[in-house]
Amino acid sequence: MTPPQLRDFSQFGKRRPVRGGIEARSRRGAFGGTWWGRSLVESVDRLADAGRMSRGRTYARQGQVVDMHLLRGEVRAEVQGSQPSPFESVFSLRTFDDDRTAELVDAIRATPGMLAEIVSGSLPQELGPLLLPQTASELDFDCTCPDPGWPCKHVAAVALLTAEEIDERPLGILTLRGVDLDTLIAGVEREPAEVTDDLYGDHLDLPDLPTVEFRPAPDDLDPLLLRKALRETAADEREVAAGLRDLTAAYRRLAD
Amino acid sequence: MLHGLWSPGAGLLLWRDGNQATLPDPYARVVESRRFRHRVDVPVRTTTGVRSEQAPALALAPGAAADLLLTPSPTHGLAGDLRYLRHAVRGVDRWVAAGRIVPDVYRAEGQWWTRWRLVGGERQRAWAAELAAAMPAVQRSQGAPSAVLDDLVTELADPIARRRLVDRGAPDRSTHPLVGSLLAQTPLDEGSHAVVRTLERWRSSLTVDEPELVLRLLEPLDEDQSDETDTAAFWRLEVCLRPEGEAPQPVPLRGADPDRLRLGVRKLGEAMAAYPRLREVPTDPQSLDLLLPTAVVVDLVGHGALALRASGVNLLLPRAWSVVAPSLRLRVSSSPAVTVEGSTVGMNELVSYDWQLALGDMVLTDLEMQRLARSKSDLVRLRGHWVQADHTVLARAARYVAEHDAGAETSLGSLLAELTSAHPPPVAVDEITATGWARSLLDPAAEPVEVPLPAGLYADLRPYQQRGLDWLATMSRLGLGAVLADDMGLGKTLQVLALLAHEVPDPVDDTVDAVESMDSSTTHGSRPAPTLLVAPMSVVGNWQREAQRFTPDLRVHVHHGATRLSGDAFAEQVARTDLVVTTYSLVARDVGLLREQAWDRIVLDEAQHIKNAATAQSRAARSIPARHRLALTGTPVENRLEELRSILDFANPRMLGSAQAFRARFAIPIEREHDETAAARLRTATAPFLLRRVKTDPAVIADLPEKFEMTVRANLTAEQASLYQAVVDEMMRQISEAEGMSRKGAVLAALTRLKQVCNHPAHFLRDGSSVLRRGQHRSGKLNLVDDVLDSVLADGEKALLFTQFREFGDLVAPYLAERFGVSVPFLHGGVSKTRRDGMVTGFAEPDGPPIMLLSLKAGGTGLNLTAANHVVHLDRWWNPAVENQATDRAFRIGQRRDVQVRKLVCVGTVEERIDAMLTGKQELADLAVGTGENWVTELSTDELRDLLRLGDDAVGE
Repeated sequence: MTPPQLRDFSQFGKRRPVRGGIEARSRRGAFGGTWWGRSLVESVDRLADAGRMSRGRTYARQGQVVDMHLLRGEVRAEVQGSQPSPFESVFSLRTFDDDRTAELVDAIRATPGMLAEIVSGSLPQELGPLLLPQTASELDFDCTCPDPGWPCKHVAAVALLTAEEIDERPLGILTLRGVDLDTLIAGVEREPAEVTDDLYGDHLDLPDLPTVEFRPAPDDLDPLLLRKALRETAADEREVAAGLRDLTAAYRRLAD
Repeated sequence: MLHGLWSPGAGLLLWRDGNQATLPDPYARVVESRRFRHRVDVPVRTTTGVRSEQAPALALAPGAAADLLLTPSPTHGLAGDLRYLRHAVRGVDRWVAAGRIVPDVYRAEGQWWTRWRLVGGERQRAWAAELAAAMPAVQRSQGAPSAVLDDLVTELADPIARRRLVDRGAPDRSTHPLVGSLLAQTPLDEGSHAVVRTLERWRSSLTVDEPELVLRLLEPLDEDQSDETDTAAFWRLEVCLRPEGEAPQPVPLRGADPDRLRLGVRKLGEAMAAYPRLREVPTDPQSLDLLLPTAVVVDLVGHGALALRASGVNLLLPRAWSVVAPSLRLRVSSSPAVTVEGSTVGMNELVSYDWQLALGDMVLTDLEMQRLARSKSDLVRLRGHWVQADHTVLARAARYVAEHDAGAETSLGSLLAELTSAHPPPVAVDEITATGWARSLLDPAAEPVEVPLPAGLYADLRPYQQRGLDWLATMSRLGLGAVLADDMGLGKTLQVLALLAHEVPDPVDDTVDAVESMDSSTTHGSRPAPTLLVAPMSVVGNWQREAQRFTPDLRVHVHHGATRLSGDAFAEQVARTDLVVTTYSLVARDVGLLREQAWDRIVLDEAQHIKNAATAQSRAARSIPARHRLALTGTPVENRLEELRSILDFANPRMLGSAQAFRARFAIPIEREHDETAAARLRTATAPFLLRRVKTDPAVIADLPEKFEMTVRANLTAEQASLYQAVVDEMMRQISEAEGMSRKGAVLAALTRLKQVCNHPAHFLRDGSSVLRRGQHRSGKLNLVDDVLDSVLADGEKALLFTQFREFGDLVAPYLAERFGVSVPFLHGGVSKTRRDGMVTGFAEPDGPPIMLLSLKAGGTGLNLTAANHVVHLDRWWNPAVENQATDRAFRIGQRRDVQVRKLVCVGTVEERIDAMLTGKQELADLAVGTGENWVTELSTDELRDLLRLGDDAVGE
């Protein structure tokens, strides 16, 4: 029997299927449909072993990633493996400090029109060297699974889906780097810390309470999408209808 | 004092400072029953400043926190920070109570859960921003105010909503898993990332109270207002947000509400996605504004505006912006007015001319023209204003002007031919000015030289008839062919007789001439050579009578009949005559004889007889030489453009080119492609030779009141609709098996039946059933007639009702008589002359019947019914000429009040569709076009189905 640290975890247990997991757009070949997505995948590829990346691709395509959040500096996800509960996987990028943010702002300001382009949701490739991780120290992978691989197939799957997220919304790279759009627009100026005598707000003038007329929020939202959500969690149309009815009744009660 | 601190991750922490104030319930109870087991770092003011201290704290779960903060209580003993949190939570409760919450699915502890959250949107955002700004310093130690507040709202919205629902006895279960999970606070086994995404999309479909993006284009601020600097300047596209009901506000980068900025940025991003050229332009460092070069501005206005509007972005253009089409103006100079009587100039006379290029109202100088022709942009600065014009068209027009040398000389004919040639001016010619004799011909602003009322004319001329005479005299003097195309009834005959009388020398000399009449026509200043008038047989007598009546001194000879003169006898008679009247058929037959005479003028009455240029009559008429050529017609434009060409070709030979060239240059572009430029060019070229006044033009004839024509639409009743459908089905079945004449027959029969159904079910069924059923109308149309007549009679006015169906009149007349309690005469073909006259006289009397029914055929002619000023066409003849003739019973000279003409059609039926086509044809007729009859039977089966089908909108409520 091979020692534990050399085990190939792909041989252990079958992964459990997930219903409604995150769907990968990539069906075959490499992940990353845009330059940014591809570049991110390449950064990860340089560090990972080919087998785990390959299994990561399978995981991503099978929808094993149950839930995933792109946050400042990291992507947190739950990935369903062979065990009853999903693993918690975190794919992190090092966030920018003020100096690097300033460097980025300068680069953007130096090119007319670049800010407008970013504002409109696309990220110019010229910023690649600044924004993409250049060394292993800028990336990190973490997972609750027993595989000591760095990354394991679970985080690999998360990294691949992150690349797809970046394909769709390139500005996600900025979030991962801890830079928000307002900072780019307004530069790196920091508001001076406010000095106040009224530490506890004892002399505070509170703003008025909102005056709102009753109007159930669903009335202002797309009813087809609500139906879709109810359908995704129901067995049949009868249940969907009941759900809509009960929900409407609940809203009516709020006003009573 | 009791303090409250919201700590993201830990929730509500209560702590006390040194001041042991008594606390109100329920705070006192909570503080006494629980232990302060936690530690919290809080800023404390000391003599040396502010420093952080650890205080014992009590942590409350979200549910307990919501309960505590929402329970009404006095606030003594509560520190400002705790009061702040109470206030925040009350705000959340307001949103919850207003229903501004939605279910949300999230994952925690390895399971999916469902909770309530605020729906978001602009008003909630504004509320949160205001609250964040007021956050006490101690609370800010927990993180950025907006982040802290966001955490609080996310954590507490759900317990606050639950609290409300439980208080109000809402059910806590549902057979739907998601709703059940929400109400019962149980895990959602069916949860998935997919449903999270769907709910996210659902929430983000909220846009109701979001400010709109408004893009405002501002002209470049330019110090020196010189036209030459236009290429370098940038236009500012100001990026504004417009909250509902407020003015658009720019979005500055600094000092703005960050959420406003974010919203502006996001919306601008959407705008850029809709119109990507905005991504390529520089931005303003101080704001979100974009700086556009003129090329982008032109593209934005031409193309981007549509894309932006389609994605909900408002684009405001500067007020000063004007879009203009380049146009050409022609200035013609000719020698001073022709004064010598009898000398004519004609088409070969030389004129000098000069083309000018204009943009809007501005006539360009040579320098401006050169500059604009070089411009690569559609947006140019001209005399301090920005104007937009297609620069390729502008360049073409400028080249045209340059190629036609200023002051060039040519003959009048060549100049006019220029307009109709294969290489016409590239843009519309919208103004012609002229000096000299050409002025009265070409310059629309010029009035023809007035001529005195001829001594030999025994009639008064109305003002427009005097103008007609002036014009005819001018054309005659210039030797230019003319077409007088006044509406029927305006007195074309009288105007021509007046012209003849005008050209006869003074009666004093005339008596002398009359004595030597044998050879007088060719001598000095004496009677001109005779005029040959060609008319249809039916009006030859009329010409004779009118000439006797109005110009008794004119010597008229009618060349007609088997015993007509020929050879020398004819020549001798002609020499002793001023006016020879003959018919179209004789023109063709006696063309050789007629050509031998020296005519001063040839006149064609009802010139539409030569609409076909190839007939023997047309060729004969064209071949007879005369000094002056005149055509009269009442309807030159109701026929095809080729007919107009044929008539003008008679008046001014070869003026409009060959029939073939004309078809390619005008007829096809105008009739098929609705080419406005070609139509305008044709108008420009023909206007000098065409005088047409219509009865309805109030500027021309002040005597005639205005006529209001309207198409009034009635719905079908359900009974009518089902009958209508049955007729259509039956016809479609028949024509599927029929061809040729039997198909035509089936179609025409169906058309008639459909009109009957639209009139009244009983009209179609012929079953003698009653007009009303249980007091309700069976016909939407008749119901409408009731209403119209109600108001007509209420005003003490009278109405004429026309129908083409005698049976329908028989049905309606008794009904109306009973309904309005008046006698309703029905004048149709079967009424004797005596009774008919009686009806007409009776109707004219003030206390006579206020309503009269007429069958279209019987009522269409010879009646004067001006007592009525309302005309209702109950059904449609689908022939505007016939209908107008009927309308004219009430609308003619002498009628002093406004006449209202209503044409009834049924909605969603063949009536409405054909009416729409006729209206379309009317537009064509105004352009100078028309189509043939009988076209319905020529339609394909599919077209027929489309034309006849019962529209969804046919039946009213």
